[in-house]
Order: sequence, then structure tokens, then C-alpha cells
Amino acid sequence: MKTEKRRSVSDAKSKRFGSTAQVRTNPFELYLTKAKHNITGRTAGKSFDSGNSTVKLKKGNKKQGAKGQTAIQTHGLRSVSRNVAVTNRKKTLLNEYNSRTKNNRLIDHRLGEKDTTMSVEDKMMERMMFERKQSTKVKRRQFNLNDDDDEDGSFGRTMAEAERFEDQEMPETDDTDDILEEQFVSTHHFGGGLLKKVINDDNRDAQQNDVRADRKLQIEDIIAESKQKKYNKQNELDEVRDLTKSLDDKWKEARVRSLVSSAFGEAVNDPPVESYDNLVKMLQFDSKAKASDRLKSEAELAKDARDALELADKKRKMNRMDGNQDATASRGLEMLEPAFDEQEGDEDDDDEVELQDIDLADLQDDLVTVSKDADKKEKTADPSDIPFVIPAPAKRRELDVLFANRTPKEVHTIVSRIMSYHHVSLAEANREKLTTFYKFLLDFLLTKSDSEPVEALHLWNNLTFSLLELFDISQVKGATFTKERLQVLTRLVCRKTKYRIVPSAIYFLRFVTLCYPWSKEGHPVQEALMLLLGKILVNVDMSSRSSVLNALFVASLVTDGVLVTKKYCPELLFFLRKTLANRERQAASPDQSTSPALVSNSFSFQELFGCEGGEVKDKTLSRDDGQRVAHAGIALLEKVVSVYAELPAYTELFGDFDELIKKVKTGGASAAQAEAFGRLVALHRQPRKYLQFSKKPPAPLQLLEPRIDTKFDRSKSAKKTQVKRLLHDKKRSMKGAKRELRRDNHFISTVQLNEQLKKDAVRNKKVKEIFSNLYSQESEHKRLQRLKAKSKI
Amino acid sequence: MGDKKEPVTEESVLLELPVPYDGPVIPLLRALRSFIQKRETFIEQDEDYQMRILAFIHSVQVGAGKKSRSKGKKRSRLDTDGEDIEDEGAEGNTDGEIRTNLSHVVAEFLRLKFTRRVYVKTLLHLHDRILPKVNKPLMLADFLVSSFRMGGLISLLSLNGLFVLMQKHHLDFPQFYEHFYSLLTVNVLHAKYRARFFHLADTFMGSSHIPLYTVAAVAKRLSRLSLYAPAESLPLLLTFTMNLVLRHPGLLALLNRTTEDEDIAHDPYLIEESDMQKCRALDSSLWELKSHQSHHNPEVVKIAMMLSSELPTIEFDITEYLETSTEEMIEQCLAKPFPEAEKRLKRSDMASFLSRTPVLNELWTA
Repeated sequence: MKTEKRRSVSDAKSKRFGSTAQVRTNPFELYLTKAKHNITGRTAGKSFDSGNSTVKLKKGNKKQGAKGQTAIQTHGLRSVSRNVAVTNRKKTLLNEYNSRTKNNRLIDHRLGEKDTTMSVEDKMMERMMFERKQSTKVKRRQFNLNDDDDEDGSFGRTMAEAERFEDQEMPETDDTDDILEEQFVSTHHFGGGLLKKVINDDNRDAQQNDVRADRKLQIEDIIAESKQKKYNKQNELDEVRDLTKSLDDKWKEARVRSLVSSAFGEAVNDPPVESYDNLVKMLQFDSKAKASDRLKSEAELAKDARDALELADKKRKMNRMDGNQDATASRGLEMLEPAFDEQEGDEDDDDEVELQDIDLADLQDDLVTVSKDADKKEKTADPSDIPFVIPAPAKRRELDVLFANRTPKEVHTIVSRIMSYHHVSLAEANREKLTTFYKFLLDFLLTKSDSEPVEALHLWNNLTFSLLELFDISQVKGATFTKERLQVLTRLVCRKTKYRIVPSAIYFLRFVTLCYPWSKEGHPVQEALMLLLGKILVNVDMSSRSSVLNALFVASLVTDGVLVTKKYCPELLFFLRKTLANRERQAASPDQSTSPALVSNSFSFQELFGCEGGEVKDKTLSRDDGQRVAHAGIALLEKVVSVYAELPAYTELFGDFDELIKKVKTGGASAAQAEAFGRLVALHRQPRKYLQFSKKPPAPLQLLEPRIDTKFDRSKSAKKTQVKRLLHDKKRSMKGAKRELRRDNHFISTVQLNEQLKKDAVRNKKVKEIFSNLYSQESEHKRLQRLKAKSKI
Repeated sequence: MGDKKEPVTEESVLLELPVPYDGPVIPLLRALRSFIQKRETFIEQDEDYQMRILAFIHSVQVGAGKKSRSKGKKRSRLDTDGEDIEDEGAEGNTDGEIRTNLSHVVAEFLRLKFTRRVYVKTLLHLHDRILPKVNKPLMLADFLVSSFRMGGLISLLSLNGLFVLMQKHHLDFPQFYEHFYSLLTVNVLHAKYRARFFHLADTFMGSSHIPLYTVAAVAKRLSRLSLYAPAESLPLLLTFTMNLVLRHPGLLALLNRTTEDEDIAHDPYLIEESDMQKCRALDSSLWELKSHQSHHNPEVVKIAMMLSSELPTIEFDITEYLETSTEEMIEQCLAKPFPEAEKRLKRSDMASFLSRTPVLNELWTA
């Protein structure tokens, strides 16, 4: 009660302040806990819009006032929030409480009744004005024929409106059914039909039902008729439109035609065009390509070649038949027939393929007999007697026979004839034949290389193309064959401490570098070959002249590879160093202080095999040769310098060589070369730094992506969380509701108490009045009695 | 035995006796000793006799051989072939007797002048077939040290025996590492006994008490040698040197010198300097090893590539690379699957036998 009173006082005060617009919130009253997060979905606080409080708070909270919102944040303002709650209750609960015993409610609709600003006179005036207005409105409607509100016009518009657009709307609606319209109007409009019938028929009651049915029918007829009419009209319209359209099209076409024809007509009439323009036009319309004979496919070419061979062979045979046969002509064919019994051929077949190129011993005898055999048959070979059709040899021995006493050129002719007669595109089986032929041929060449190394060079020179072609044809099998040879050679090289290079090895290594050119990098055979060549360079026996030259040849093969692949090959440098060091040792010996200038810097290939110009040279390396070898070594080094310029150890590597070469120089030419080499080395020297670990690239930023659960089952977890949330909400709202109810009860009880107090006060007042009346009555009565008593006395 | 007393037939008897001698051992040893003393010059001339005597010495089985074997913790796995010799002959005699007698024979034998082949053979098996069997192993020290000073292959082989003496019998050998350093030449990499050498070197350099400059000098020297090393030795060389760096983190400067960033024209390392303290290996860098990153063999490149980044924490197992041979490497290469052969385009695409390459054209004429 007390608080309520005080508040009412404060309210009154605040009302007064509000009117003066000087209200500020009392900072001591502010009781705030700082909100750390904005929680979405939560209302900012309780708001109220009771006029007085709003005004007051608007002034205090300038931010909100600026926005002009009526919702007020009461959070933290204790008295304000309580006030808000009380005001809200007064508006709602108190009303309910006051009307709790009432069944109805009067709603006052009188004009201006709720407006407090109006005076009684104003209210009366207003009401009178309204009354008058109402009355005039009714009167005017009664007599106005062309009222704005009249909606008898077509399509719900007023007639005035309809009149305005009459011309535009449906210009030809009424032209055909004028008569019908008239008839229709006269009979049916304004209840015409019905009236007529009613007038015509006297016995109205009896035919009442009939008439109604009739009218219904008639209306249906009318509807059907109008529908039919509309349909017809639409049809006509469509037809007209189609016709115009077709006409339009025709017109356009005709117009285009006339235009085109006129243009051409004009062109014809024009003076002749200049030749340049003509040419351009001709170019424009010239056909781009002409039909021609197509290129022959590989298979067709091969077939042609084969046919040509067959034809030539036939001719050759015919010649022989004609009587031109002499001994030499027949020899070619005889030669093809196997001259040996099968057994002999069979037994060597396999081992020959395996090892023959290197281990010659067991076959040497056979070869000798073969060549002797062949010698007996033909003393002189004639290039013209080579048969055109030659079957691919099925045995190694046949090949020997075939090539016996043939010059390298003839061998080449034989090989190319065999190859073109057995071209792969003619039959796939030929691949097999050519593969065996490849093996035999390579084997033959390698054997020959060892027995007659110098002559073999011509053979190799002539047959390299064919061999490579055969190598390509034989595909995997040829590669395996080459690989096997390489393995055999590897074994021979690696298992000796000093390896003496044989001519066949030289030829074979060169052939392998042709099969697998250095430019095609990364082939396993290349890796193996590089290792093998390196091993040869390390292990090579340098005791004789030819072996030194052989090693030098291998070194130049390696240098070739190095130039192409740019790979570091320590073995090559080891070899060159060894060679130069040997040379230095020789040069240092007293008896060879000076030497003549070099005759030539390059070596002939024949020298490799220990013979030059037909005669076998001495076995030891002469002083002259030593200088040439050193020269060649330096030449190889010079080639390598630019390739190895990028190496981190370039300075150490070539610095060593530079010093060595300076020591080696003896003759005039060498000195110049040493100087040149020194300059070359200095030229390629690049600055370098101490070694450092390569810096790791900075770790890439971790990009945290949301982990999206693709198989997420929303229903389960959503249900769970929803139930949880609902339970929580329920608990909270239950609490809130309880609290509100408590407050409501408290509010109601204060109201009741106030009422009771007021009642009591009234009653007390009345009681007091009554008592005072009674007292005065009593006193008067007593006074009267006293007077009576006095008077009696 | 009686036959041996006769000087005429003594030699022939010696040659005829079965080598794992099945009779009593001690008389044989005594006879051998007297024979060597008496016929010194004769034996020195004939290699067969030297080999024969050596074979006898090798074949003698001391009863406590097992004991000595268990004492020797590290046995080179290269020398396991002498193990299956039966020790029946030693049954009747005491160990001590055999040992003393054998020691006498060995002492006499080592005083002889051998041919090189016998010398090598003696040294090869000194550490496992002679050293454990003699009475006072230190008596071999003189022989070993003198061979060690001979240089070349002989000193390389004497390393093994010396090492055993130093490790187990407290042989004091000053300047051992200096000598070892001088042994590091190109020949080591090409030698037949490369595996043995590196196996021993691994044990020598395994100690953590070696001064840093010694290790640095060895590493730098090996790296310099690698410039001319055959491909087969490179995996071993690279891993060995990297192991050195791993064991002695002070060497990391050779691979990763972050303090100086200037260009350096000349390597501060002096290869001619025999004093390891003065050769300035620690001021250098292992450029030579890094050069192998462009080696022609991919296996070598793979190992060399590890030099450029942080080294692994675990040492490399060099036994894996000890006996790599070129033959194996080639076999490995050829075992790889061949890529699909490309077709040569035209005839002109193929070179003739002696043409098309600049080097061949210049140096060789047909």
C-alpha cells in the first residue's frame, strides 16, 4: 500500500517533469549487467507504450528517442520496468478485474465522444453537421439520373466512361444483328417476353409452371444463339487474318524477286568490271581443291615393291631359260638352297644367338669351312647375279652362305631385297621372319667385326640403316636380343680387372647408341649403357696402342652422350685424367723433351683395330701417337667444359685438369691448346656460394573448410534438439508464467486492498457523521429535557 | 713325422700333407718352425711353400678358438669361410701348448720376405685366422705397422689387423688417423678391397672421440675423390660421408653454411696438405658431392638429392651399398620395363654408323 502510494506520487512527479522535458535517468537507479552477446531471436527487453512513460523515457534515452520508437528498453532500470509492468497490468488485468461481474459492455460510437480536446459545443456541432450530410445524401440520390454511382453501363463502367471510348471499343459489334437486336429487345427486355406471355394467356395460374419452363428454355436458346454468333464471328476474323497474311507473304516474295532481278539487270547493263575485280571474284568462286590420286598406303607400296621383285625374278629366270644361262647366272639360285644337312644347322642355332659375337672360338672353324665351301662354288661374285626374290634365311648358316664373297654393297642389296620382299605390311608372319633375320644379321656382323674388323666397317656403314629398320620392326624381341648381348658384354667387362676392348664390342656399343639415341632420354638401356661405358673406361687395359685408341673411341661415345644428356659422368673424367697423367709421365721422362708438331688431330677408324693403310702398326704407343691421344683427350675435355659449367664442383674439377694440362704441354701445338683450355675454363667459371640446404617453401596457410557431413540425418538430431529446446522453453515459460501470475495476484490484492481501504474510509466517514448527528441529537434532546426540568421547577 | 727329419724329403712331404692336418698338431708345428728356420732362403724363393705354410697356419684350430671368437665382438662378415675347419686335431693337446708353438711358427714365418701375393693373402686373414690364435697378439704389431707404412694395397689390408690390436690389445699407435687419411686416394675407390676398407673406415670413424677436424678432413677428401669415382662406388661414398655428418653434427657446416653468404672463388681446402689440422677442411663445403645430383645414374642422383635438404635423423646402412657392383647396377637397369618403342620417323632420322655426332665426326674419320 505504502509503496503503491509512493509510486503514484513519483508518477505524478514524473508526469510533471515530462511536461517540462527535463527528465534524466538517475544513474544511481541504473542497475545493469552488461550484455556480452547479442542473442538472436531474443527480444531486446520488455517494451511498453504507455503514453506518459514513453515520453519520459524518450527524453532520457536519446538514442532511442532519435529513432522515434515507442518500444523502450527497460533493462536495468528497476523502477521503470516495474512501472511498465504495473501500467500494463492496469491496462489489461485491471480492466478485466473491473468488468469481472459484468455481462455486457457499452461501446460509445458518438462522434467526438472520445476526443478530449473537443468541447461540448464542438461535439454538438459536429454531430449536427453529420446528420445534415446524411439527409442531403439520400435526397440527391433519389432524383439524380446520371449519378456517378450508377453502374448500369456495360462492363461495370459508368455510362459516361463507356461513351468516351465508344468508338474504340468493338467498332463492328452491332452491324449485322440489328434486326435481331430489335426483335430481341422488343420481346425480351424489360421482362418483355414474360409480360407478353402473361398478357396473352388468361388462365395465368394454370399455366404458371409452363410459362416458367418456357422462359428458362428461351433464355437457354438465347445463350446458345449468342454463343454461336460469337463463334462464327471469330471464325470469319481468323479467315480474314489468314488471307491477309498469305497475301503479305506473297507480296514480300514478289518484292524481293523484283529487287534481285532489278539488281542483276543493272549489273548486266553496267560497264564491264575491271580485271582485278574479276580476278577476285574468280578467286572467290574458285574450287579450293581438286580431286586427285590418293597417296598409296604403306601396304600398297610394299606390295608394288614385292611385285616388281617377282617380275624381275621371273624375267631373270626367263633369260636363263632362253639359253643365256652361264655358270654365274645360275649360281644365285643354287646358293639359296641349303648347302648343309639339317642337323648341323640345328645344333648351333641356339648358342650362336647367345654368345657368338664374343666367344668365337667354337664357331671359328665352322666359319672357315663355310667360306671354303662358298669359295669352291663361286670364285668371283657378280653384282648382276643377285636373285631378286630371296627367302629370309631360317638358319644362321644360310646367312653366311648368302653373304659369302659378296662386297658390302651387294650385301646391302641382298638385305634390302629380303626386307622389301618380306615387308611386314604384307603379312604379319613376316615380322617373325624379319626378327630372326635381324638376329642373324647382327650376329653375322659382330662375328665379322671380330674376324675382319676393318672390312666389317664397310659392312656396318652399308647396313646400318637396314639394321635399324629391322630393329624397329622386330620390336620387343629385337630389344630383348640387344639387351641380352649387352648383358653378355657387361659380364665380360666386369669380371676382369683389365678389360681389353674387342672390335665387335666397339661396333656393338656404337650400334646400341644408334638404336637408343641419347636424345631420347630415360630409357633403361641408356642408363645401363652409360654404366657399361663408364665401367669400360675405368677398367680398360691401356697397354697397347690399339687398346688406347679403342678406349678413346669409347670415351668419345660417352662424351657424345654427355653433350646430349648433360649428365655428370665421373668415369669419363677419370679416364681423361688417367690418359693425361700417363702422358705427363711420358713427357716428364728426359728423352722426350721435344716433339714435332702434329700431323693430324683425328684418327682414322682403321687405326682402332691396329692397322692403318693396310699394314699392321706397332703395338706400343709411339711418342707421336701419345701426343695425339693427349690432344684428343683435351679436345674431349673442352667439349665437356661448357656442359659441366653448372656443376658446383666445377672449379675443383677443371682446375685440376688445367694444372695437369699445363704440365703435359710439350710441343708447340700442345702449349697453345693448354693455354686455350685454361682460357676456356676461366671463361666458364661461375661464382658460387657455400652449400646451404634448400629452403623449404613456407607452409601453406591452413584453409579451414567446414566439414560437411553429406550423410547427415537431419530428422534424428533435429528431433532431439527440438525436444530439448522445447523442454527448456517450457521450463522457462513455466517459470515466467508463475512469476507473472504471482505478480498479477499481488497486483489484484493491492487493488482489492485499496478498494477495501477506500470503502472503509467512506464507511468511517459516514459512521462519524452519523455519530456526530446522533451526538448533536442527543445533546439537543438533553438540552430540551433540562429546559423541561427547569420549567417544571 | 719321422720322414720330416730327413732334409731331402722334407719339402716334398710338406707339399703332400693334407691341409687340415689330421695328425697331432704340436709336432707338426715344431717341425714347421725348424723347417722355416733352416730353409729360410729356399722358402723365400718358392711361392708355393709360402702358401703351404700359410695354409697350415690358417688351418690350425686352437681349442679355445671359440673363446677367442666370442671375445672378438666384431667379425667382418667377409671372412666367414674359415669357420668350418674341424678341431679334432686339437683334442689331445692343451691349448696353451698349441698356442705357444703356433706363435713360434708365426713369428718365424712373418720374418720371411714374401712375394706380393702371399703378403696380401697373409694380411687378408691375419685378423681372424692368425691373430686370435697366437699367444701374444702384440707380437704381430711390428709386422702390421711396417706393412701399414708401405702404402697402397698392403697398408689398406693391414688396417684390419691393426684395428683389432688397437681395440683389444691396447696397441698404442700415434698418428694412426694421419696415416689413414693419407690412404684415402683414388685407388681406394677402384680397389678390389673397397668394401673391406669402407667397412673398417666405418668402425674407425664411428668413435665420437675423434677431433672434428679429422672427420671433416676425411669427409672432404672423400668428397674430392668422388669427382672421379666410378658409379658403383658412389652410393657407398655418399652414404658414408653423410653418416659422418650425422655422427658429428659439427660437420653440418660443410653442407649448410648459413653464416656466410658471399661468393667464394677457391675452395679453402688444401688437398696436398697431409696435416689434417692445417688442411682447412672445416672451412670448405662439399660441392663435389652435390655435383652428383646431375650424375648419369638415377640411383646415385636419388641419394645425392638428400644432401640438399635436412638430413635424416637415422644413419644410413652402408652395408647395403658395400658390395654394389656395376654388373648389379646394369642388371637392375635392364630389369626395368622398357617403354613402348617409338617409331623412327624417316630414314634421315637414323644416323649412319660414323656420323651425326659432333664428337665422332671431329675425332674419327672412316
